[in-house]
Amino acid sequence: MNIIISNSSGQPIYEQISSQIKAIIIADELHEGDALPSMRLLAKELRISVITTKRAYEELEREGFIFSITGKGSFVASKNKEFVREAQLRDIEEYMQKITTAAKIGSIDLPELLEILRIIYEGE
Amino acid sequence: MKGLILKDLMGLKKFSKNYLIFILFYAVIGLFSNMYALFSGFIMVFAFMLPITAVSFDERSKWDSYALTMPISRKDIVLSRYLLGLIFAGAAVVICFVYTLITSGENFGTSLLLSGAFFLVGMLFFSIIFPILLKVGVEKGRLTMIIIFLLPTVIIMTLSKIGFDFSKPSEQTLMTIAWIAPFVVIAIFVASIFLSFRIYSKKEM
Amino acid sequence: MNALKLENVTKKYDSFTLDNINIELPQGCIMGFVGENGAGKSTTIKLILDLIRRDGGNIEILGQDNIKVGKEIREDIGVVLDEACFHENLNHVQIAKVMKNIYKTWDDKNFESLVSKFSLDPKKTVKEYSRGMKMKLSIAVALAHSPKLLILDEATSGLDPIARDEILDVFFDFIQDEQHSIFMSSHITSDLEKICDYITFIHKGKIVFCHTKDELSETYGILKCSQEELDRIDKSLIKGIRKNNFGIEALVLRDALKGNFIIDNASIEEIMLFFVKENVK
Repeated sequence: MNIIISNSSGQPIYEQISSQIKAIIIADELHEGDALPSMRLLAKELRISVITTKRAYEELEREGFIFSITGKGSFVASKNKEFVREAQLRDIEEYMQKITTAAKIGSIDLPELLEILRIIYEGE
Repeated sequence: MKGLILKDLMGLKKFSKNYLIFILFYAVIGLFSNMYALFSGFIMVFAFMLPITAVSFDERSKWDSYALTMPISRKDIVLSRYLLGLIFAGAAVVICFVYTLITSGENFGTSLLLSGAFFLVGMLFFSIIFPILLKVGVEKGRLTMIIIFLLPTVIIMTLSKIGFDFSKPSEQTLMTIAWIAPFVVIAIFVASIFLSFRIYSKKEM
Repeated sequence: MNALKLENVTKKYDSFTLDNINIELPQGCIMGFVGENGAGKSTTIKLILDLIRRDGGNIEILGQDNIKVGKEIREDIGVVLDEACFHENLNHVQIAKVMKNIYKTWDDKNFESLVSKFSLDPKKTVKEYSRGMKMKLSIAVALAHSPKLLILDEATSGLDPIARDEILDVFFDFIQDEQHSIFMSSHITSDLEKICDYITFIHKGKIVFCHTKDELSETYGILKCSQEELDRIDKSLIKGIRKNNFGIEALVLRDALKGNFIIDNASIEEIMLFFVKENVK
């Protein structure tokens, strides 16, 4: 499992970790019941605070991606497709909110915005 | 405390090795001349010096502050110093006793008495010196130590100048002194330990 | 349980007072203790270790009063002071013999593996050690008796970056056990950035703040702007200002600052500088 964090990306580190783990789970690279590295091991390997990794794991647990057993560690939760979709929709709505705000500041209208989205989506 | 004594003994080994030459020198000289007292004197001075050297090593490396972060009490540190003094004084006395017995013609009883006297002098010396060292440290205490060392000599000389008669005291006087002295010195020794406890417990590291 | 707790601790000297120090270090965490020279870091640590006696307040180590329990609790703490305080004539084999008779939980194997990891020569005496080697020895001794709390006073200052990295690795290993905690004072803030969970900042004898590292980077930011732009911002969000000939740098509360601004991440060092130089409250 690869987790790459950037100190200069502007995104809080715990968010980078949780979104990367989320992506790994969604992409089926980690299966239901698989154990995640311990918070402390992750903190040590990434050379960050254990409070940060704890926060990342707490968020993942809150969103239903993982569950933790005290004394044993954290494991991938059963993937409820609907649940995953909902979580992603939540993220998307948040990003769209930011996009909309930025668009309005720059006086970019909706058609132009949709055009940009289409180019990006189809370009991938 | 065992650890503390061990540290001092191991640390002094190197230091002592430098003086081994002198010890052997005096031992041999004493053997061939009749100056066995020279060897005894040297050994006694050396034995007095070692515990104090141990303290100065500790001061140099700021050991005390560090030791107090370990499961060692201030009393442990104080006691280990006195114990070290006893060990060295005791060892020196045994060496002198054996040496004197072998080299001189003195009989067993006199040798024993002399050795005992040396031992008591050693204990008295430490009783006076250790509290002073604890209070002001080895560097500042050095001058005081020299004064205390020389004091008996100075007193005796002054007294004899005044006309005090030092002709051999009576057998009875000697016996009385021989019986009382150990108790007095032990009492002073113990009192010194408690004084040191007091001084050290207040010390800010 | 808190590994370490200081409650309203005070110590008065003629020219300096440590005033109402409150610190809580939860078990399993690492706390960095920063402040400029003379701020009171070493004094605080000496109070924790009862090397000097506090004038007021409470100090608890691993839940127990540091004075009442004293000797016993020190079995469970490992201490590294800013100098290596071993007898100069001893080599590390001899030092191990000494320590074995001091600590009940001393583990020779543990010590051996640490000194070989640090490449310490068993034949060399402490006198012949470089500063880096002395610190590594102190750390090896502190860890070899399996303490629950490590207290470090400037343990990495005077070391080159490679030695410091080695040592931080050792600390990271130590903290893998949830029962282990570290309290470390340092003014090498880059080390603290790497490893600490909490940062406590002391200045002129007072605790200025105690935050998690994340809180610090989320709360504070360095705003780069012009004087005019600065004037338009809510003053309560500005924590300190540095002017240069071409613009302004300001320590700000980044979350509350709305708008299109250039805000850089604030390092611990920068936060410290702004607090100290700009007399932030």
